[in-house]
Amino acid sequence: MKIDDKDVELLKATQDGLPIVREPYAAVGEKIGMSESEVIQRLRGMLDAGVVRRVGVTLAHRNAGFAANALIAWLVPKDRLDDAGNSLATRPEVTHCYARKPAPGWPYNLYTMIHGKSRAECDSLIREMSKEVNVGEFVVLYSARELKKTSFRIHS
Amino acid sequence: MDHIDRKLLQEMQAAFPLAERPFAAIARAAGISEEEALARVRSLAADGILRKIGPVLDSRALGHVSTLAAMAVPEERTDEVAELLNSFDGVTHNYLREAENSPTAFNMWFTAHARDERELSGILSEIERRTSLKAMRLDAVKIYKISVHFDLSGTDED
Repeated sequence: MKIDDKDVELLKATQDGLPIVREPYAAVGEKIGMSESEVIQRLRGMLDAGVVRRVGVTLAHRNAGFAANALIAWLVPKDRLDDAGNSLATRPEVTHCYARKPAPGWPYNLYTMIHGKSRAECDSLIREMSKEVNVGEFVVLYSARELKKTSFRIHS
Repeated sequence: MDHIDRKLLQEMQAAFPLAERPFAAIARAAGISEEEALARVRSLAADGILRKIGPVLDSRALGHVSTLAAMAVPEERTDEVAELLNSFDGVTHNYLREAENSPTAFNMWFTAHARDERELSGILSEIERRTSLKAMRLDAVKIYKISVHFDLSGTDED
């Protein structure tokens, strides 16, 4: 989708978050010289077009009680990749599920990110997932330290 | 966090209302006043539970490219390499990960975004050049799910 300069200006003004006030869209509009209704209309347009994936909250999941997160790299036979991907994606604990091109010495082709309250909870979930898609070869990569977490942003 | 906080977050997670008084709508759903909802949301933000409320962009829909990459970083170089990686605006996520049953020593996992492929491979080769370490690139071929909707219903109090 093509977005115009005013859309870009609006995204820049909101990508770090809306102000937590009674009328947040009016407040944003005031800052960039746009009416409240235009702010809402443009955001809705970009949401419908998919440029904006959603308007919602972004949680710091660690602080929200999800202490453990794991990236699991699965080695799935090619002909079962879509089935496995679609099936694991339906689980609420799975926040990301991607098929990725393997690299030399690294044959894994399906990646899921899961969040849980504890490692034990994640471990048992991973066992379930493995059984469900009948894939026994996988690597579990628990997050030991968050070094950087930002949202994708528009720059300059 | 009490059950009202969780209810507020749950309400706001999927779709924050695109309406003049969004917090009034959220408050109604949680059975509290708009003022109380605003106060609670402000303290969730101050406490660092809520990172932000607003539009989440789809970088792909904007024509950008991205990838997941991993590096095997020796322990004593963790901070130095992390600092370099994090200095790139295009590096949006970076985690030190414990590879429990990994056949390799890949421990630093990051996501990189750029306006086009040239810029993206430029970032990765600059990282490789400046660290003298190899960055393994794992391009997505298909997305089955991207969502950051957490099920907050069972989260422990406080």
